[in-house]
Amino acid sequence: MGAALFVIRRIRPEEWPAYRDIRLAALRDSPDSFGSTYEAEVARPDELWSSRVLAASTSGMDLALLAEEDGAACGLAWCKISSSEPGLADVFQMWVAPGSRGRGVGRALLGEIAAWARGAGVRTLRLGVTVADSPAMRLYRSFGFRPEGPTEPLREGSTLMAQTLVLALAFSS
Amino acid sequence: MTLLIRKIQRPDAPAFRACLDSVARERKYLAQVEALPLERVEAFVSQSVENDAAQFVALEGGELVGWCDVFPHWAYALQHAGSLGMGVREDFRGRGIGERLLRATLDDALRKGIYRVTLEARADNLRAIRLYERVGFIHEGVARAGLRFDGRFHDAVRMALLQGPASTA
Repeated sequence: MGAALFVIRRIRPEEWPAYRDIRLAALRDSPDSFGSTYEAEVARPDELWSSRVLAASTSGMDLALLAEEDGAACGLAWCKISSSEPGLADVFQMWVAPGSRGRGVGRALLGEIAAWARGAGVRTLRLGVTVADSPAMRLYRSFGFRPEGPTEPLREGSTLMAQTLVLALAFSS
Repeated sequence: MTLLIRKIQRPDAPAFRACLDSVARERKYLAQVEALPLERVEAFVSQSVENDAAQFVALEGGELVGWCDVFPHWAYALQHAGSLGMGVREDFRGRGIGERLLRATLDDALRKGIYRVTLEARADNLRAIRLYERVGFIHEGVARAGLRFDGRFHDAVRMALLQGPASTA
């Protein structure tokens, strides 16, 4: 008894308020981890949040995942297949709430993304990470992601640098 | 201890088989009394992954301790209907794993256009029946002598849940 129970599942279209809330929580908690900012996102109208989630649920090109701990949202990850390069997919918005870290939630989100992407014919996963000896960087590296290309400022005017990481997906057959 | 519920993946096949086998061998809840050979289970899991089927598993460390799936019918007028199967390993019952598995799977079934989910449960499996009722399943009838274990007949309750467009039908 007492074991934390995590669920990794897709975000349903009608859950867009939960998506907005956790995305904003992520930006507020980890401003140095994302290209976007809390100030930019909090100003967006409801229609934008709801249409973003609705589009993801029907596009066939997106996987919008929610992690829950005992029924409460505790993590987020989004994978989008490139429209110009179907063998490539980007991972965005990955975040795990501070109280749920260190329990394998991030790894489970990545595992779910990798399994889905493989099934969709994706060969390469790509993501951007802020250059630091951070839990996120360690997770991506231990998952098999490798740096590609030069580092670039996280966003315009930022002294933080972001590194593109890629993972070649293995196929069992 | 961390329990994780997520969609099934190909490498889960051996652990899935072990869990299924453990519940089947209780000779009480599942119609089968042992799991199919590993290659059959692997083929089944592969197909499930390929179809992005509504099949979730509960894991603790490397062990698979529960599963839940809803597979749709193939025939045209039954494609909105799917039958549910699930199980939680005996030593992991009573922790709410079944309910979380069930809710995640029903959500995914809804996404896939499965609006009527049906199941049969042994009539004396009250714990499971309570769970199904809590989640919204309605009793639709009894399959009299629907199951037979070791020469003894058992009634099975038939339940169904309507969701999405069917919930107002």
